[in-house]
Amino acid sequence: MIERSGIVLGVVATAVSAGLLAFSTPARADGAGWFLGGMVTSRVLSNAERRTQAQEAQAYRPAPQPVQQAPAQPARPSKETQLQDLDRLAAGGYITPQEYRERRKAVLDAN
Amino acid sequence: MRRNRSISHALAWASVAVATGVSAAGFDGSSNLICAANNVVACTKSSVCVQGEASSFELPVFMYVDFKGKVVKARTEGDAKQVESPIRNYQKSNTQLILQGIENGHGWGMSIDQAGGRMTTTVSGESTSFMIFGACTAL
Repeated sequence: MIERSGIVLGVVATAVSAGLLAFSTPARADGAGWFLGGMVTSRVLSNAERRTQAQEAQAYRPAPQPVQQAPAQPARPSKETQLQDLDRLAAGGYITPQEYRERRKAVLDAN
Repeated sequence: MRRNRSISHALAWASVAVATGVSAAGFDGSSNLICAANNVVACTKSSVCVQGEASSFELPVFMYVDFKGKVVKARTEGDAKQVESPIRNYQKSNTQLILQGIENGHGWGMSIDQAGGRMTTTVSGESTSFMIFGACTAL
């Protein structure tokens, strides 16, 4: 019984195989080149390679350095502060009355 | 540029579809097919995959399924040389038309939806595998 089943299965398998192979490989036309396994594969691979390299180059590109900003200028003291400084310098005798007047005028005339 | 090319592909495709009369009956293997490739996804053994429009991979605009000649073929744009892959196996499922072949150390399979003509082609080799997505219409 088992032997007969094996024979039947074998016949079915052979029939199926024969059916599949009925569409056997045809001869390639004269002068025709490989298509899916040839030209298409070659073009896809070369383009994929190029894109991959571009992606890797992008991935490994060093991060842009932050733009160095010029150090901020120290805030200019207000006229009031400058005049107070002049007063202290004059009171301490560090500058002459002449220098005091000139500096004071310069502070007041400055924009 | 690429967009113009895509538009021209679409227009060409539309004109072919109108001229030939798209019908589901054509996707049962009784008529030859013309297929347009739209997108490609390709992966290499280094686990890197890329994707893009078929035109950006420089693939032929159209490929033809010749059931009588038992080949899938195309013409290259530059030198007008014909390239073709022999069909080794051809099967129909309830919904798909399936073609298979072996060529130059690569195995390929093309699945075409019998209802609408949507096409998926896979090609695999030693170190790479890629898929082409597109659509077919009967000639």
